[in-house]
Amino acid sequence: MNRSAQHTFEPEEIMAYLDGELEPQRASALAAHLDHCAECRAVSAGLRRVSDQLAAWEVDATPERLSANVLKAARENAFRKSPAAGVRAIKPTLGRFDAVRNWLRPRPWAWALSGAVATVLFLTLTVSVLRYRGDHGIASSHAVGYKTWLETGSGNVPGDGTLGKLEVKKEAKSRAPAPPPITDQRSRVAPDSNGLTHGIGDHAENAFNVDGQASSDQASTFQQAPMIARTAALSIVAKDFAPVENTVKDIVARHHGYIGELNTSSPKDAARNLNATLRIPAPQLDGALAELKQLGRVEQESQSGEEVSKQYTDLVVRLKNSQVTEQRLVEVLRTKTGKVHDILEVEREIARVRG
Amino acid sequence: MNSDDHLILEFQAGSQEAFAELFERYRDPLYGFFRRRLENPARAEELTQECFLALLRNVARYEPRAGFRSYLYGIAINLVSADRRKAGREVAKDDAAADPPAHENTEATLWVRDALRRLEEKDREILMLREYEQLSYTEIGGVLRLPVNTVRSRLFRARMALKEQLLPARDEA
Repeated sequence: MNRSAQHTFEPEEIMAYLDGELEPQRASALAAHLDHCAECRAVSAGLRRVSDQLAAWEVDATPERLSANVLKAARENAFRKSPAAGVRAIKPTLGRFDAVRNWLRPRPWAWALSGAVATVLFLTLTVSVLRYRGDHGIASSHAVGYKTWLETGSGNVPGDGTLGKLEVKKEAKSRAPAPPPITDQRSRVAPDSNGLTHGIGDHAENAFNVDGQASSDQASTFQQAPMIARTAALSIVAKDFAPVENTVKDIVARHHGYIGELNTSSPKDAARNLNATLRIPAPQLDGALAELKQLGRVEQESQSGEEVSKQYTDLVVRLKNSQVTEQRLVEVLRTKTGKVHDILEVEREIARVRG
Repeated sequence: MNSDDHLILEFQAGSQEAFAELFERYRDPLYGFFRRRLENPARAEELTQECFLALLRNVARYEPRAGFRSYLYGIAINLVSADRRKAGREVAKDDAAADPPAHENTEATLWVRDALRRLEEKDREILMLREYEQLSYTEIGGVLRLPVNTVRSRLFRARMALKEQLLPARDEA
């Protein structure tokens, strides 16, 4: 493909952008670029046509008896102590899927590690719902998604319903980075021309990959394994704005996190936005991410990791030293006799060490 | 609305309603998954059923590592692979893009099937997981055990190959 050297975006990036897989800042830049680059718009249009044509392949309806068979197996399975035994009795041929079973084998180290890191998730979520007044004849949800990105990322506010997104992005971008032992997830929700939910990327599994780097079955190696603080950003468009705030709070509570910050805005004739910073314990990250994505269509998502092993080790060592000091002081207080002044001095020192 | 990952954990804890909800959500997508990959509709139905039964059987060992969808389609991919191995290479070749019922043999459908059949197997699988199952790059990587960058580059290659074969009638430059 002949492309002039002045293009800052590769066609593959344009594809990732259309799939909602481009990192937020890069996606914004690309959206702006598409506004004035006909060549890149042509690449984009070509990719969309491919997806549109592939969508033409529809399959026949699912046979009704499938539901009866599976639900019957589930019911019978419920009456047995061991789910595995129950299903095996119904469908013995499943025993041949050893590869599946191995793949499903629990790997405790991965989760033990993430728990040991004791990090929290820092998440920012922005939800927007557009009050659409234009007449874009959108034929498919794909097309809606593309259009939203082009409009909202460009910084143009044409006034016919394509509003609100730029402000959201700026807000998210200006946020201070999360402190070291923290996982940061920022979600921004772009409005859709039809008020539909948009989404990009469902990639909670990145977290697993990061954790997986420190693979070891030995508990003793946990301390030597890298501690990863994860940062993620989500951008979601919700179809129904009203229940979003309460749903976010429910999700946070369910995952034992807390809301660091939550702002909503309802500008006149513009999209309503919700921007939240959530902090969630690291082991709950994937579950929380998955539930947040159910709020609407994920338009953008990114994740990153930062090694915080040094900070973690420092904290552990300092805590241990303080505990040892405290024990020694208590021992002194218990066994030694002396002047009241000396005893009070020891007690003051204990109070200081305990913080 | 409960997420898939929440539901599978509820099911793990014994909730049959959670399983019923998951089944309701994924019955049609999973059947579509198998139907597009297998020539025989009855076999597609059977494997859909086996996939849910595998979910039932292994729920006690499920852990939310890579998300429910990666988990579920990972099982489905394994079932298709096992079925193709069993059926032999020739059949597998035909199954790569299944023959739909006669009423679905529109020009567009035929183009799609032919175009997909020309792709390299791995590229075709990545493309189908993206276009039909709507999996993210990371989910696809999880299912096929590929790095995300590899998924992205192969997906791009597959789409570019298909772009070259666009139906003339639809190629409104």
